[in-house]
Amino acid sequence: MSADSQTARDAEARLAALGIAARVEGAGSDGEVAVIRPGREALEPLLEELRDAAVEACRAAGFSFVALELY
Amino acid sequence: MTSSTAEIVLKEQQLREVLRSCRSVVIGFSGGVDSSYLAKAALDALPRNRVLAVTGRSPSYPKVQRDMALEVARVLDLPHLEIETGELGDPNYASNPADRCYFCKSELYGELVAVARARGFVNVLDGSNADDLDDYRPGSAAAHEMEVRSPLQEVGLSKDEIRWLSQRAGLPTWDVPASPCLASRIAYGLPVTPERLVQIESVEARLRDVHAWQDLRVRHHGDLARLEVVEEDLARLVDPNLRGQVVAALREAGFERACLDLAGYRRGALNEALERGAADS
Repeated sequence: MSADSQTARDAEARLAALGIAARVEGAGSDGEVAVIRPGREALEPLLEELRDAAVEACRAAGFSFVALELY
Repeated sequence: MTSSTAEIVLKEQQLREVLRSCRSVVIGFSGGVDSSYLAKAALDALPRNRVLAVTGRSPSYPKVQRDMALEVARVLDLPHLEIETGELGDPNYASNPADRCYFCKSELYGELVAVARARGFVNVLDGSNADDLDDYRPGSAAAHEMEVRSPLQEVGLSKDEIRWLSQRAGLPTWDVPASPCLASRIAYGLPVTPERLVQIESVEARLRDVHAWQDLRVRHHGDLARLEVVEEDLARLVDPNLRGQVVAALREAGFERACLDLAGYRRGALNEALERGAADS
């Protein structure tokens, strides 16, 4: 799949619906990776109780892989 | 593991019968769980001079795996030969298509068949197991074309059952994590190069020094590294100190960007993009 900026905005909206404030960018050679850049308060929930829901949300938007930005 | 002990032991007996019927065997031997157990079973079923384990070495073969292969060969007093394979010189392989494994296995099995013919061995075997039938494995087509047999698969032994039998046999491989070839970390379509393979091997080794992960993979998406760790280890990365060490390791390896996969480590993760593509088309 080729993720465009609309896919990323869709993923952001789905994350916001879960209460996760974050930016999403498509990365990888075909934009297949959703790279999530969370707000400070969202980091811990993303790694714990909201992790599965966030993965589902970004996959529903069209990404193959869902990841937290490290740098 | 759903089979009873009696069922597993029965499969082991069937395996020995299959191996005896092969008369003499060259085994594709990576030093992993499956091929190590297959080599042990072959030594139990056949005279030692009718068993030859052959390890194909190339930049995509992890050093840690080679060390284990040498250790298993030593422990078992296994006749063992190392050969160089040249899959990286094949553009069909190096361009990294979805069926990359077919070209790698064609190269490896071609070499194994040549060794078997030159030394008078009747059959060439590999360590594919029953679980592999459920995975995307283009390499199995190469095995079929070259009449390479998979006895573990023929008798229905699963990975968990092979681990159980390996532990019972005292093999050092019984609980080692799977260690597939380094090219399996590179996203399809991104060329497989010696530099990328070295980059992956070195960063994974560095990350293992940072923390005792249960398992991990660094997936290569070009400038982006995507780290997969098992679910139990994901929550540990809330710790900013550990996260900082991970970031430092990935930066040192030369990745411009890096991210942590929130779905955690899973076998054959890069095949998921293929599956999604097929579903979308």
